[in-house]
Amino acid sequence: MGGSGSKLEKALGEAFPEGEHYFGLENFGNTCYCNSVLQALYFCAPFREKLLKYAAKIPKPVPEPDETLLSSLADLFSQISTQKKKTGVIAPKRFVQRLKKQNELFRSYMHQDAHEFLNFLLNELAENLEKEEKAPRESEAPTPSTSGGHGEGEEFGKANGHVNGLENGVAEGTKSGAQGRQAKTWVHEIFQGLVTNETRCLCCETLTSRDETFFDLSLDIEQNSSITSCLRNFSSTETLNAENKFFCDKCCSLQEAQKRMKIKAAPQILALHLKRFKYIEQLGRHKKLMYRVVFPLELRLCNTVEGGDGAEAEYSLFGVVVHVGSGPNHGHYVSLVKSHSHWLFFDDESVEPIDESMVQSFFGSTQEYSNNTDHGYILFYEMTRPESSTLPRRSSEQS
Amino acid sequence: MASNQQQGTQAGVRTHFKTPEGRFKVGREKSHPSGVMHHSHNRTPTKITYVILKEQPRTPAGTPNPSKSSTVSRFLGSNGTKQSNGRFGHSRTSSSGGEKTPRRGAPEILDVALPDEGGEKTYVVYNIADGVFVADYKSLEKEPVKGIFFNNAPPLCHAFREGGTGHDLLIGLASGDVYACSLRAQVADSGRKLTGSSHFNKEGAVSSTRCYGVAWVPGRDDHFVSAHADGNIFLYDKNKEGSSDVTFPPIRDTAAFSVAHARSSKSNPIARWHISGSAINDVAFSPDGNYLATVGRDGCLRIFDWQREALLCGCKSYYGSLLCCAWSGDSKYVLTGGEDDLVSLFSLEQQAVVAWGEGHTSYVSGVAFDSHWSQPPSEEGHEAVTYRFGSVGQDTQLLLWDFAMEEFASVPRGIATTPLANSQTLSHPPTPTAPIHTANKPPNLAALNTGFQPDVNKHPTPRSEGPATPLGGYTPQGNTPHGANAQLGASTPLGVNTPHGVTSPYGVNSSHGVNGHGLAPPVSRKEVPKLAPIMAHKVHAEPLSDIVFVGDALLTSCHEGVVKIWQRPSGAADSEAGAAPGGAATPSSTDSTPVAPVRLRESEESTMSFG
Repeated sequence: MGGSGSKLEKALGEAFPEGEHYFGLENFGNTCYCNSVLQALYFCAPFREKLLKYAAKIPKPVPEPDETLLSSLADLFSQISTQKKKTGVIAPKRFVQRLKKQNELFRSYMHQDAHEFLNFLLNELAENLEKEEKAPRESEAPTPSTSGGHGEGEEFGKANGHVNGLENGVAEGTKSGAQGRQAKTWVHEIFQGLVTNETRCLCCETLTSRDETFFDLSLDIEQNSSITSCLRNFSSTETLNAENKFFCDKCCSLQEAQKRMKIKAAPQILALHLKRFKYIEQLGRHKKLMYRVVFPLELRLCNTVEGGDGAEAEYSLFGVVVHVGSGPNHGHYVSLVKSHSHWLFFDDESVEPIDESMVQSFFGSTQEYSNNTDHGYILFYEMTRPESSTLPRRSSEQS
Repeated sequence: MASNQQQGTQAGVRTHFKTPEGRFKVGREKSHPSGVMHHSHNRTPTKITYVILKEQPRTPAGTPNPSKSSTVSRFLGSNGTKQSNGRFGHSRTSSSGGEKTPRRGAPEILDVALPDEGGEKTYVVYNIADGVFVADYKSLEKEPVKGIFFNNAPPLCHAFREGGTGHDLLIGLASGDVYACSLRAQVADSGRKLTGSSHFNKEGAVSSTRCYGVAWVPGRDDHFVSAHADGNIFLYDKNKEGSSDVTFPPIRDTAAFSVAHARSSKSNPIARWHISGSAINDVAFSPDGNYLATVGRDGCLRIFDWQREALLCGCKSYYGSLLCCAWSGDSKYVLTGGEDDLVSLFSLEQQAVVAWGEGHTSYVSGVAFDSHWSQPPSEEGHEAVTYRFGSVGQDTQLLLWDFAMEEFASVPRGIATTPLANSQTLSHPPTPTAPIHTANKPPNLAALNTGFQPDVNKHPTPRSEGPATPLGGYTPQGNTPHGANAQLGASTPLGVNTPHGVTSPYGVNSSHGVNGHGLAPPVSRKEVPKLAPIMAHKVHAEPLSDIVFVGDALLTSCHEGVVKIWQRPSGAADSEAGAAPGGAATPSSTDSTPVAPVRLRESEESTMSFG
């Protein structure tokens, strides 16, 4: 322990942030999918803050029957943050055990998908919190909850072939309006965003819109493109026709329609999942897309509803979960994390400082067969300036 | 899609494309010598420098042979391009230093030194991995005539001073080292190393960070600048030895602009311009020599008064770094490209971004004005000054754009506001003189034309927004073309419809504390008029890195180290409308109405009005 740590301390020298801890996470056999995501979450400032606060309130250790994924993660974070040493390695043993108990998907020693894990984790944490909040005050009106799994958004899937983008972190399929905007837990406060899905029947011109919440967005990718362009494609207008018609409630029949999906409320932490694992029908299996997709260190969303919450918010990249390898069923996950304006490279036990300019070496490959197989897979952006509030909404009215 | 990616990368690559003037086609390509391994892992963007080497550089550059106007006109200031991007400067003074060319009198080898007609020879200089290569521009040979290799670090940038004496080629390395040498001597030498060069910033004397840009100072034969990743620009005298004793005071506020002059007269660099605390990605001097533009990691374009050593104005990208910049030939506009996938056009006169070019689907890595493009005559006789420019991106695409400031100016303020739409950039009613120009809209742009339109349109009339209308609500200060000596330093009272961010950025301290560099905060996307390209095509298999317009061609380069020379339309045979001699443009008269150079983005959403 700490062998690599002291090296890291030396490398950072004076620049080592006070009170900060850089700890590698031990790998228990193919748990890199978990380690890489946990590191990104540890350096997600609002998330860590809330989780440490939570950790302070719960008994230590949490007695076995009361243990949840939330409590075991809180315990892990507080372990890291209270280490005497600044660097070293920690074994997230209890957390991984808990995870495997909780979900059989993650029980095997098979290679797992980091995005699936992130999505499961956030939903699970939110659900744990909701339960705990509800427990003492049972009189409160129960809210219908469909959370916990992958409610793959059936209607989405049917209606819109290519925008299966909304990896349903949907905690609640709120129809619209105020209810959906009320974040229920701090997990929602941090990660939840809102998309609005607008469909116009080409026959009766009726506009149907449906809002849905999300914890992360899954984006289709193209060779030599940018995240900006992926987001734009995410919100491109699509015509529903032929076998993919829309059932219009007004016409009471299947009709041609146009639909698009825009971001109505931008989340505080924007998690973007690049759909690098694509099912290829001819092959009968998933294949990794090595595409080069550039992601800038700063970002603003181009596909927001005008006047929506955080329509022109500025984001800053602070974490990248990287998939290493040429196929979907094997390989490795590492993460790049920005902490106190320095970038760090986490690979299970090891932690190394890297230069900001290194981030671009994880964009992907311009050719299918390349030695470079380290590709950005999940991007974490934090909102740095929420609103273009300084900008008047209706400048055109002035003249 | 994925299974045919391999073929796909090459498949979509064009070998020709059409513009209103006619057909451009790939005439020649230049790349690395066949003996050199392809360094797939050490890819640095390949930059292009176009070189005209006069046989005897004695004649002042201001009196060129008029018949060669296409190649020399950049000196006249009437047009100008990327080459004016500091890579070529004026050469009014003919100072000493010519004798530094060691091989000046050496017997000239190959055919490379044989002058063409007009006593000049043209070359393309480009960098690939650890080498800088010089290729004969006119030859069909793909291989360079000369390779200069650097052991310590890859070269990142280069610049040539046309008509300069002695050392005329600058090379900046990733290690921060900068070399000045004579191109003629390099071509004449058969070795693999630089010959007879001066070495500056040796062992990182003043900066050990990457040198992303080098440029000759216009009007001074002996002065040049190097721009570094630490946010500094150093001014050197090419005739003095690079000194290692640093005589500059420490930088107190890394975020603030400051200029320090060397205390010792022996010092070379002579001066240090500290631009900001983050990397400078590109620099360009205005063709008139008055201004220096820098772009960088912080997303800021900064324009300095070179003589007064003062920051004049600037702006921020929508988000992300800015990667490249270029001046218009009249020194009135600066193009930038960056990580927001936008091509931005900044007006010096208005001190504001006057248009965003939307169309790239990845970072914009190179921008340039086409100085050799001549404007089609206007049918209605109004003097619209139109600019043609090009951009290349990491999406492997080349885009061409037309921009007419007069189109903006001709729209009186007030008319712009109609109750129809709620974005002032889109609210001008359609005018008959503004055709809906779908013909030139590349099909692949359809998918991109989203996201910048108002979502709510109260009137569900399809196409109510009139896609090709002039941009409303945008009133520049005057509608007569100003000289380069426009009122700078004072804020232009443009502000009604551009309330924030775009006017007078200098001195407006960012109240948001994002950067604190005294530049305007990023603008809102609704406030900036959008421009659609007149042409967009995939032209290389790899991400593009540079674009240069020359008299008879357009040059593009990519990360793989291939330089393509796109021959301009040569004559009537190539052009639908029949191009004027010399590749001059004609209007695409197939349209019954004149081509409106400023075209609003045609959004598919205009056909789909969400209430």
